[in-house]
Amino acid sequence: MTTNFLEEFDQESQELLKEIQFLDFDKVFQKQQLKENLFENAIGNKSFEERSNERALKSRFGENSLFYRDQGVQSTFHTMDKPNNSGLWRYKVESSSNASTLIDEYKRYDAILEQSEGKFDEKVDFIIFIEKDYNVSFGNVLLIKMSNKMINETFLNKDFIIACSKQLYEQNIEAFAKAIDFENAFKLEVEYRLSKNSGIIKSTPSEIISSISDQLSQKIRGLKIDRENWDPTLRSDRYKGESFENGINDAINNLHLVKYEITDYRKKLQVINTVSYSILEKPIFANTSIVFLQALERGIEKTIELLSKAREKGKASFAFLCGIVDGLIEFICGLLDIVFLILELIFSNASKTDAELELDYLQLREGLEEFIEAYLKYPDIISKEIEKMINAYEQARFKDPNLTIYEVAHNSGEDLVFAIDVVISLIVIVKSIAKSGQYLPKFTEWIDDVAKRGGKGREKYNVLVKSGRFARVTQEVMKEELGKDFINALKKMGNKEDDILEYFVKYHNENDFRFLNEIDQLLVKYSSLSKTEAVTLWGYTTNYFYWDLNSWLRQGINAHKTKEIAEILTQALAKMPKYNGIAFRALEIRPDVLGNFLKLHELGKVVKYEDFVSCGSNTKAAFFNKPDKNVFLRIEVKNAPIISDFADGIKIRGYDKEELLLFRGNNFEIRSVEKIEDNYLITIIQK
Amino acid sequence: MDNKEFLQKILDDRKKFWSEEYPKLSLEEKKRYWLASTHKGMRTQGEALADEYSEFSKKWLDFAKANEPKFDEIFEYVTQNLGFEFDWKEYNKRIKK
Repeated sequence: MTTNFLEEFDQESQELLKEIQFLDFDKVFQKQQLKENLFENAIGNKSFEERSNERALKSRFGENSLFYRDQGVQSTFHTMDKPNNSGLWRYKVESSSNASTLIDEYKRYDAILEQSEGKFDEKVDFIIFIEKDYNVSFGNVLLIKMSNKMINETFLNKDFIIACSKQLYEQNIEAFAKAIDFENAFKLEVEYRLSKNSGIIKSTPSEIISSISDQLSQKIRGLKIDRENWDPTLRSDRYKGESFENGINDAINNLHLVKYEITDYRKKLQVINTVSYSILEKPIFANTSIVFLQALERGIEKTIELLSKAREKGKASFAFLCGIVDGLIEFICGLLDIVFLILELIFSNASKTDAELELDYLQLREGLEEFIEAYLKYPDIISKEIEKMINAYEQARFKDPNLTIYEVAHNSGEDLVFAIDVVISLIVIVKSIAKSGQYLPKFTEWIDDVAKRGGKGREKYNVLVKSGRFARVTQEVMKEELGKDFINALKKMGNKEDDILEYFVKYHNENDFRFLNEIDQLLVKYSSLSKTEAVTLWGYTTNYFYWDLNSWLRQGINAHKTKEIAEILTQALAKMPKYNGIAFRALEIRPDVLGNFLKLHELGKVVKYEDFVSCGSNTKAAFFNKPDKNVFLRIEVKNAPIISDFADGIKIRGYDKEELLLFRGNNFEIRSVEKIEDNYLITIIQK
Repeated sequence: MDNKEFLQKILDDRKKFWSEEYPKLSLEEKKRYWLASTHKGMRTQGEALADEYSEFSKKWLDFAKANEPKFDEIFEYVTQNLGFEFDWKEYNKRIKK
């Protein structure tokens, strides 16, 4: 509602009105300004009514002035139908010409609403506060205070507010109020009540999320297939494996129920997301969660299809399939628990008040987002793995003399779900958070339980979790670990800090978290090496900066860009163990540039390599067996740094040892050039 | 062994590798070999010639396909595990020549 209305009044009115501060509903509806003091800001120390009356009484018209209003509040009661004749919404209309009284009432605790059940009863479910119309109207107050029951209804039915607003409009409670005014008042109430959590209404979005989430996890976990169903040694009446077809149908049915529950939850989340929109970060994550849940539902469908095609291979294989279903259910619950935790934190804004919680939350969120990203990119990622598992039953089992063969088979199924790469990556993140047991008790209990067993999952888990202190890392962690000298040296080369951090975060996270953890270990082994030197050396062996560095050094250009990084790298190489002997390098040089290369390497010439040259300590390490190589360099080197411990090629891509990286600026004499057909062997000696 | 003999041995060993050793590798071993050799090859070409994709050529592809019936599957694995974004556009340019 705008306030440039004065020009519509006569001079006396303008004089009286111009100093008065009015409640500005445009501001009220601006979501980011929904704070309690907004009302105080709008109404000042005195209400409009009070100011108006003061002015009026001072005027010669006194109580007869157009601007003098009675301050009493009048109440009337009404009802509104609920859809499908399921009850009545009973409401009270409180009207007054005193806006500030109405606003105070609106904000105040109201015991009457606590009784609301939304049934056919006499209990009031909501209260409408209406500022009585003036002879001259310039923006009336219309507020609605809702009961818990009614607020909850807005989350369960996305059309609820519109339907109520329409009914109220049709009931013609106040002439000025249009359906959209009621709609805005309802939305304002949901925003205000939930964000402030003051007065009677206790259900914040966080609590609503928490309430439906808790129930969901509990329900889904309840769908796990307990042992009596798949272990015939218990001789239970509930054993389902006598008829494979019936047993598997029961398991499939459980997955149908899981999917149904997730769909139902997702729909509720969509409603919450539609109704409540005030917290900036929430919609992005909530939207992502909704898309993810939809993908998860499709993933469950695929798994159901796979299970329906499974063939009987004995009672143990039935237990194995039940293990897969149970593992999947546990993992889905774990995922949902993380989604709920993050949504709860987002909606409650708790992360803003507790630094530790905020960090944990960020770590969990990043981990989940990476999982979701991978999952949405390859939605079949888990069902494909499950397909492999179903076919790999015989290889999956492990020995445990303390368990029945059915328990082993069941555990093997669960274990295989646990060991899926994307699953275990998320598990590692969860376990890297000190308070994970507190935030996600059920999920961590399952992780601990499976990790104790003897399967493939435990092996992978031990490698990942026990490899060091860094699981999935954020840019903040990477910035700290790379150190400012390395980052600055790369920035000097023209790289942006964000790009540097993004690259190394991805590099660490996508390579089994080895980079930072192994740097940690290498700093112990190479005690004279600084962390900057270690990350620079390893960094050189990735493909982030070696290409520019070597290219510029070889051409003798951009010296100001390469100075720092080349210096750090040289310092690091000086601290590496040294190799003296023959080193090898294989190249493919196209016929059109081969002539130039051979000219540079003519017999008797001395060449100076200005760049950092890498080579292998044997022909295998240099891949002399590659079919396309036509130039083989055999180099006699002195004190060549051995960088195998830091080489991405050896540690991650599978090169043979040793990897050497020669100091730059060395002179080499060409001792021989041999040719057989189109292949050359050039023998070089370091001077 | 003189230089000529050494070069001849390199060429003989290479031939032997492809005719005798490589066919005996399991699919997993073949994947590991192609990953390591492609990664090393691209890196060495990048260091020496400032052109990582000079690792690939029509001759190279023809050889690879002639010696490995599952080459497409293996190379898909390789490109996903090189540790950097593989530039298929650049690759496709090279394998035509």
